[in-house]
Amino acid sequence: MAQVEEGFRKTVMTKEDGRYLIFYDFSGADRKTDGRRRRQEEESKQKNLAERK
Amino acid sequence: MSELRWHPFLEEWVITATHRQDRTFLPPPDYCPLCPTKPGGFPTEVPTDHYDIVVFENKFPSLQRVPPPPAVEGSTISPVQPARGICEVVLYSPEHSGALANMQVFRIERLIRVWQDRYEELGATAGIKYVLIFENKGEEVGVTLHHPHGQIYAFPYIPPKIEKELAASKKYFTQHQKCLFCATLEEEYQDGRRIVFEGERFVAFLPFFARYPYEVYLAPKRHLSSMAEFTPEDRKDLALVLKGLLLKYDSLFNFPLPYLMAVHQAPTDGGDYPDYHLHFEFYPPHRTAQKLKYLAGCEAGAGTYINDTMAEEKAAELRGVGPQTITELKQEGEE
Repeated sequence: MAQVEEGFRKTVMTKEDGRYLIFYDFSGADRKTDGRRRRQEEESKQKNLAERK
Repeated sequence: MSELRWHPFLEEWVITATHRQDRTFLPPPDYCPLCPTKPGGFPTEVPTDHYDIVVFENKFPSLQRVPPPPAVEGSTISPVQPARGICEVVLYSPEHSGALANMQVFRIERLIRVWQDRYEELGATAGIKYVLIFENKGEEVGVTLHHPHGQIYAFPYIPPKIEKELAASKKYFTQHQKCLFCATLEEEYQDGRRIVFEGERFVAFLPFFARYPYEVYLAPKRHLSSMAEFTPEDRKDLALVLKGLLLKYDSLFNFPLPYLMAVHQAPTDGGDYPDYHLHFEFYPPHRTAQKLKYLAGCEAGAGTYINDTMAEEKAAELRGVGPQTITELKQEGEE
């Protein structure tokens, strides 16, 4: 059973002995972070190029 | 065998959980039950390594969702009850090595989000009156598995220490129309000598009344009763201050400092607790690099702690090591 909450996905499984196991997945948040990181890298590259000029 | 037995002199419950004697005790890394199951390997608690954070019910719980009937009969003086509740394990990472202090800030933020979710979900469960989030780190405090993890106990009652804090907070609020913890923070800031580390929203300080040499309280500067009130900005700042404090601990004697960490927040029994202030409490057992503090005759026997050190001096020691400002940690938080 998967459930999407603020910033994460929660998947609940049941073990053979009846205990639950909950996986928290923040990969959606990662994608946002990756985008921000790429922007920062791009800005940094542009700044370095401008300084060299 | 498992039940709650009433302690009539202290008026508190004692949990009997004899099955816990059989729990896994310091296995070699190749046989860690908290690591992801390897292909062809023995089955562990987690069948995959594709996760950020995992929570599961403890295999050796002190409190159980469906508890067995008490194994003994109680009496009028000492009644017994089934040990009803929930005990969870929180795995911080699939990696066997590492610790909360060494996790990247954004991963600590995620862990805080999971703590918040567990507080809300377990707290909304019928019969659960208190959710205790905690971590035991190091063999010195009884850790039996080294894989980075914490625990959560969902109690069918408010534990005695919290009850005492709630009563003190209510009393102070009635007398002064102010939160006791907020007033304590004001005093700590006025004095300043025991502040250890701070962010924009959270502060770590070694309390005036510390019972352990390196005991630290970490709390929001503004009045919050529980994690349910956290905003994303709160989680980010808490992650920075938490990491900063733990790095300071590890810098103190140049080895990973063992500690007990417990989160105190509002009960989930349906009551209203506007006068209670969320805070983390840290109890490292070390009093020097080589010496440990034990709960001896006066502490275990009478409940009165003896601190062999000055809180002001120990706070200065902690201030002097590790990161000095959250700015040093902020860049990492952007990753």
